[in-house]
Amino acid sequence: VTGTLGTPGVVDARGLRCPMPVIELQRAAQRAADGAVLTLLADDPAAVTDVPAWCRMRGHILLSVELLSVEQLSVEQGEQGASAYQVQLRKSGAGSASADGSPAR
Amino acid sequence: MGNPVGSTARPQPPAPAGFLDAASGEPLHPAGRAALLAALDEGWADPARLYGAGRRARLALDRAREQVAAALGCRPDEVGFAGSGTEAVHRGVAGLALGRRRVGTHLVASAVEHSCVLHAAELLVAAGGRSTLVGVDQAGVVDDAAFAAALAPGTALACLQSANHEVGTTQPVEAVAAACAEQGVPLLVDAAASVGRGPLPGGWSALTASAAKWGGPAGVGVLSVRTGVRWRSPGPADSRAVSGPGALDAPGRPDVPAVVAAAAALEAVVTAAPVEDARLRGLTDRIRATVAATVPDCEVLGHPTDRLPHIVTFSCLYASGEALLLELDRAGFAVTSGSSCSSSTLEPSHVLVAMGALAQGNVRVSLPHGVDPADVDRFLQVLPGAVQRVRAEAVR
Repeated sequence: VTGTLGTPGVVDARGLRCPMPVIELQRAAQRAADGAVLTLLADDPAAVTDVPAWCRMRGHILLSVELLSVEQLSVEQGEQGASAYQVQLRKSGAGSASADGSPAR
Repeated sequence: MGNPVGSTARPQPPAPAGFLDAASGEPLHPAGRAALLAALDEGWADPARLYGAGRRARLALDRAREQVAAALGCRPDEVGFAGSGTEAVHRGVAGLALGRRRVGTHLVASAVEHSCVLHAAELLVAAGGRSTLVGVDQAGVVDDAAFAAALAPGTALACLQSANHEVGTTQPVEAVAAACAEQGVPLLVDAAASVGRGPLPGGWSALTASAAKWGGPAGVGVLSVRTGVRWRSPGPADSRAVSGPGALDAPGRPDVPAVVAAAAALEAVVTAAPVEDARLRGLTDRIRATVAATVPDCEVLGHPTDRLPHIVTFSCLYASGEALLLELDRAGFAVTSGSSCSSSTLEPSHVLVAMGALAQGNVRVSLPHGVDPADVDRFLQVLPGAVQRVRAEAVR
């Protein structure tokens, strides 16, 4: 995992359900610069398919997907595991999503 | 009993306005309805009995079996009836596995089979067998070479759908059937999504279908097994036919009026299919193109050409599938979704996952026989606004 919680570039979407993790990722992407690397933390099973699909559809690059250990997350035993999705933004190919009411605000 | 199938020439009345979920089951076809009403009077008795009413029920059942056999391209004694498409699949898989238990306990299936096939496979695995699931490409097409390579000396049976029920992609059944034949492995084809929707693939050893999907009653499934294929009825023995017509039927007395209705509806849709399928394909082509052009950040799924005529599926970024279904329901449209939030678990549809497709904001549109094109136009007008509202709601 690059960075820890609260670090710039880390989007903590744990506890959020589909489609919120991808919406949070898109919001962070809109604030970040072209070429920046974002790390999404998510425990929603749907993120496993939806984050790679978002990257494909928006032209970003999925660098890695890592299942986080309980120690890395410093969460209580028994809590659902989360994954870290590391994404490099490529904004040249992707249009703004704000015109259609998607989460630009 | 009269000949209710004289009604095949009757123009098909449309399903209820806005009903675009034919793949979950269509309303009863008028030919099926007429046959059902006639059979309730004429075919109510136990077809195993020798008195007049029993013989009349038996004749009706025999005729229904002939109609279904003609639609599937097989012999009447190769057709069995079950209580649902799911039961037909369960009996098909379990019965083929039983027939091949000395060969082995390995099953090969595609990763995008209907859940009833995967559940039947899980039961074999729980009993000590093993299964191999063969993957698909981004369009949902099974890799036929990988499927062939998965067949092994201990493979008891293989399962491949004729076409996918969620995204409409048709599968390379004949190539897979050839590979199976070469190795002597029976192939069960779940044709529930395809029967009554154009030509069926050949080469299958067993085929299953569900009457509700073609406009028959919900309580009728079909399991057809080719002569010479080793299949043994799973579960306790039944005192009804052990060979000949009826040997493949689920245990117990069949619901003759429902079976008669299912067969009449099937004959009617198969007769109308050449014209109707082309009409529906034109409509789904229009939906695919219009959705891609009018809904931003949307992915139209499934193979663009190798697909069923009536199914279109798409996914929208930043939208909840459940919210989108409810929004479309408010606008008068019945559709369904493979998104995780509209399932009983948090998992998205295994089909969408296997394809690597976007699963959020997923909508499946499936056109019933006789759908009014104005319904499709109205859907396409309403959809972009519905997606926009659901996206705005999510970030409020």
